[in-house]
Amino acid sequence: MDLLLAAYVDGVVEADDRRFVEAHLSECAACREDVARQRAVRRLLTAQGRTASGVVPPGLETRVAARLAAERPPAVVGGWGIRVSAFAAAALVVLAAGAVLLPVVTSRSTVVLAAQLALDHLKCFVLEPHDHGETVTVADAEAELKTDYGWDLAVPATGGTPDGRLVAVRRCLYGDGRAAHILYLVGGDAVSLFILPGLERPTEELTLLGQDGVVWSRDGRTYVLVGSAGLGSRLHSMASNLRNGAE
Amino acid sequence: MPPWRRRFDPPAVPDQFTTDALTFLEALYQSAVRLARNRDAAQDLVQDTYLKAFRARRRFTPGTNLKAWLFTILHNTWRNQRRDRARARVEADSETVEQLVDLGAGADRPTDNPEAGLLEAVLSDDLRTALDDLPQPYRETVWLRDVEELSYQEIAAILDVPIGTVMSRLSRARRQLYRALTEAGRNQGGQGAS
Repeated sequence: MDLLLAAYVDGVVEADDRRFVEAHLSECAACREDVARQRAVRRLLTAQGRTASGVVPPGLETRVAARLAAERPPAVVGGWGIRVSAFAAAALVVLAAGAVLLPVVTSRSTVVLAAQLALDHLKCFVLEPHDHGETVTVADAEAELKTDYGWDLAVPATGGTPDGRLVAVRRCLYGDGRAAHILYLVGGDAVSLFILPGLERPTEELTLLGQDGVVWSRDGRTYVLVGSAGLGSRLHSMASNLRNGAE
Repeated sequence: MPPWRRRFDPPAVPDQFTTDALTFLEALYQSAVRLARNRDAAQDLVQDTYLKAFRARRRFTPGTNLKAWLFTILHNTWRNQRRDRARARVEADSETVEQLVDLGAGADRPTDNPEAGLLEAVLSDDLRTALDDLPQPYRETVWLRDVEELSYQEIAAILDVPIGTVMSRLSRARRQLYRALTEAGRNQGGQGAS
């Protein structure tokens, strides 16, 4: 009966048990008294329990937050508030300073291609000055690609995921500017879609500089999708959606 | 200085998990105070809890009950601390404790208050004392239920006991509190401002 009474007081007893308890209560004054007391205690605790424990010491929250912040690896906040690991950002600085530029069109290696584009992805999102309010419509992006490259290309509006947002279209630094670089923000993560003319390549997935990349070719163009490794399977489903022409 | 150098300062922007978890700081602290019965120990317990939670954050499924998850870590941490400290001491096991409580109950005094069960507004000190006088297992259980309003299943998981144990501890804890509080009220009565 102890077990059931507590549950009865809390109103979580099942229908059959409730009838059983109520039948008993109708005959047992001691138990009725007990239920009333338990309810009174419960009301009191709900109302006063926390305040009886006093106020939170000032500064505790700050101290806890600071301690947790110290647990995280040091990171760089780049353009658009993107967090990039300090390692990747440092590597990027070294490479950009060394002006490592290889013509994309002559590169046979998908790894080299992806590495160059991963660098450009990081460079555009981390190092370049940007305008916080910068957005670009699909129409603008397509017009730009037509003007700059002579391409009639449908620009995916969200990059293959519902919460993707188109933010910019750039001429890619590498490959003599022959690659189009479309920048998206997915939640707080940066994703780049590069489109290059020609180069039939088998579909591949790679990881470099903390970024994941998916490479595929279609209709005489090569596509490379690059995003933070933290995106995990999101990036791959975005690539699938784009490949299958979901947009 | 090249323009990009400016951006190498690590920001103090907390991540979403930390932000969400910190909304329960007050609840965790006040529970910790009742567990440890000591404010300094409670602060340490809370910090340890948050550190463990943060390190284990990938094991938390977003959308599920973060409060219950944090309380589980709080209680696990507390149990581990007590286990470490109590190695040399003999601690009463739950069964013994429950028998003692029942024996020490004494006969129920007839209530002076004709409206059975009502408790007048109780002083914080009295409530604190009454809670702290409860044996640990009772105190934990009744706190998680009646103050933090967690479900029986959640409490059973947090305290690592069967649901039946949760329910019987609740009844006994509330009864003991009632006795303690009416006793305290009686001692206060007629003493002027109270």
